[in-house]
Amino acid sequence: MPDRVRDELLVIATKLFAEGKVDYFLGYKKGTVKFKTSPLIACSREDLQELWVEDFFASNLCLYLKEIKSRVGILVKGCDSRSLISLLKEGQIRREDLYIVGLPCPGQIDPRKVAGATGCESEELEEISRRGGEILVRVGGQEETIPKNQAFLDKCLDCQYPKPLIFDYLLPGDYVAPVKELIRSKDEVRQKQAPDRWTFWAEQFQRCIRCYACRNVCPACFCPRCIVEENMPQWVSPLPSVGDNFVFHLMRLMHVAGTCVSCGECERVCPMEIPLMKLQDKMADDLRELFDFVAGVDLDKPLPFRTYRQEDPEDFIK
Amino acid sequence: METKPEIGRKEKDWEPRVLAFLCRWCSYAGADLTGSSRISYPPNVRILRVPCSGRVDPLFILKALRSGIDGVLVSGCHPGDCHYTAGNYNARRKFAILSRLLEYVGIDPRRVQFSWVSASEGDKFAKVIRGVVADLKALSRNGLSRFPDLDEKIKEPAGPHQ
Amino acid sequence: MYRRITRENLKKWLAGLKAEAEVVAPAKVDGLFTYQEFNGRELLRSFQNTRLPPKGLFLESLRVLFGWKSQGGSLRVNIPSSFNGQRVIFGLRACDARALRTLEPVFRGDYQDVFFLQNLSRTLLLGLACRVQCEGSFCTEMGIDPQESVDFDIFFRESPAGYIAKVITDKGNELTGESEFEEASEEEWKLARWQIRGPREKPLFDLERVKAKVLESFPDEDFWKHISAKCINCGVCTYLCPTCHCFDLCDLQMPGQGVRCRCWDSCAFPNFTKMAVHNPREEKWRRYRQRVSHKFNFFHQNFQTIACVGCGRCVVYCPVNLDLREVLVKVAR
Repeated sequence: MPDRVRDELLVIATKLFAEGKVDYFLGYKKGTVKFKTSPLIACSREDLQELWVEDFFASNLCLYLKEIKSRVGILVKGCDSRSLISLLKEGQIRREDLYIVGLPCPGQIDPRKVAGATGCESEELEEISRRGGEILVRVGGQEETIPKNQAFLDKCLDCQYPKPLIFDYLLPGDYVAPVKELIRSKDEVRQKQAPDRWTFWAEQFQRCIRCYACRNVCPACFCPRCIVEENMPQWVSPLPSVGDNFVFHLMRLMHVAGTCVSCGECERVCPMEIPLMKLQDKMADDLRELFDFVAGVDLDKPLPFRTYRQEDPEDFIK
Repeated sequence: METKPEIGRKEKDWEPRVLAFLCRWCSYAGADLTGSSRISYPPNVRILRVPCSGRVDPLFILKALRSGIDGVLVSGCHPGDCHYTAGNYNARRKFAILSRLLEYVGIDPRRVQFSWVSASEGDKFAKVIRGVVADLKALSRNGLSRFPDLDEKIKEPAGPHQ
Repeated sequence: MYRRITRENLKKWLAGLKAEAEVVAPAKVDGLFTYQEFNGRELLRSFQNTRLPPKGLFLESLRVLFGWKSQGGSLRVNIPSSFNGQRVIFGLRACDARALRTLEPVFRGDYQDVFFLQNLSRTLLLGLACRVQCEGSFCTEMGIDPQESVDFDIFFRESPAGYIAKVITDKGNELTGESEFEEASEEEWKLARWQIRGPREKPLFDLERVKAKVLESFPDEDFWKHISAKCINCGVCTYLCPTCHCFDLCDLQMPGQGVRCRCWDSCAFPNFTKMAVHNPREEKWRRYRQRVSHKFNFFHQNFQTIACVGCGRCVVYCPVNLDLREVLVKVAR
């Protein structure tokens, strides 16, 4: 991202603090490990000096709106702005408490995919940068280019909302290329037979250590006290056995249905690299197919489980 | 503890266990009518009364399966007749999504079934239960339950990669 | 005592050990490095460290303690069979081995934890010296040399022809008295020391200073509030940490039977200290302050070691890049 974007952002954020319009500003700062950007929770003008805008893994800052209930300025990409709309619809934040700065996103790069494409381990990647329409990768001193569709996060490959849907100020910049250029491969799990689907997911949930990073990083998971924390009675066992992991993940997904906007943070933060987005995408596809509903897009459209149509499908009901 | 959705082998006299969430205003009353009309239905079912089918959280269904229940039935009022106006409509949507999700992870959709049974449909309730039990008998014991058999020595548990 | 072995012979030797022991080595499974039963395959070349630390092989993330079943009026309790089989773990790093030694006094204190100790006593630790510095790591600041360690039974360094092994314990000696190993000299051992890529000229912080200052900064609320602001209270840092060892007990019950299990727990979780009346660490900053202070001071007061080996996993895998190295530098200032 050019420095002028960062400078423009600094001016806006500084002004917000100077005019006393916000108590916090949520932005990004430089990550301390390769290919990572860190969230920045600025409480004052001094904190803003660390502001930085970068290409990689810029996380969804809306998660901090679960904690911060005062006036806040926030930097959002297209996908993040959908989280904002979702949270507004759920009554978790108030529009007048927010000053939204829209950030154009040229597509987020996934180092794991880049490592896969260049045939090396993630740890061996030295540098990743953009050059025009290509991604430049340096491994072992050698440089090579790979096409965008081999480097971008899956969710960026069919991004329908590159431009923030809600903002008070829009920063200049490049957007991720239109959908027809980048194609996401289909989820091959959907094509499998039932026993193979089970085996696939059982293997995935075998790895889950119940760190709850997915739940905690999710802006849609805003319950002050998650049902998993309840132990009188114990609804969901804290033990990381396959069956209990199934219950936890499927339950969490159903609980955020309609509010989850497929921002992909859950999959990004999972330390065991479980493909959680596969489940979420399936659910989002079903919501769209059955109820013509897409989360976080239309502020006026009611949430899917708070409304109904007479013609809703009921072929599965006896 | 090997966890599989189907245990595969069946003991000779295995009977599936069904948990039925019945809404208090329609389905529960309907089930009551089945009983007072002396209509027989399989004894495999245990009933949990809820105020409305919309009260049923997907967590209840998942927990039931995890606890060793072989099949779950959720039954409510017919669309338009909900005592709370729209509870069953919301339930209808929730369960449409949940069924698809369960199917996607490889759990047989016959394990989680739904019905509309009104307070006057004593016959229908019996029919529904018979249908559910027949469907489950074609499957086998639910392997999602915690501990299949404690008669063997406790083996190493199936934890995550160590 | 030093020995030499070729790469092929090492594979053969490990495969041969399988006759008497469970042999575990690093493998790549589903894109993640992990410890797995060795099946004679190629040993990994470009492997830095596993995602989950080897503590999971000693303090399992899910362990059944005992089970009970009531049959016909009587109660039967099943105790799991004790784990007597020998086990050999190859490919451990110096930091992880030090972590195991750090955990030992915890489980051998007033109460002897039979599960952990049995796992420890039946296992031979075969280490592999690092060739690169892991990202996020600060092992050298913690006093650990990734290429020299006494925490193993045998420590291997890679050489052009294969490996040079330093035999440290008697058990290790017994094991390597096999034909595949040849005698080697201390010279060869010294020559096999790698110039680790990316060494830092100046250490990030001084450990003694951190130890002292962390206690001093305990009452500074604003410091801890500011530094922990972006933490999301998940368990990634604790679960991936080779020295973290808090656990929870949980019963699973069905009518007539049940099991009691032990699983990992995290002090970062909001309800970690929740009791009937009160939660002393309700706020996030209190939990984070406790975590750092415990690891870098309180644990040392009890067990005379710092409960951190600088492996870097928490730094790399924190969802919000809350960098412990930054925290320690700020504390030491």
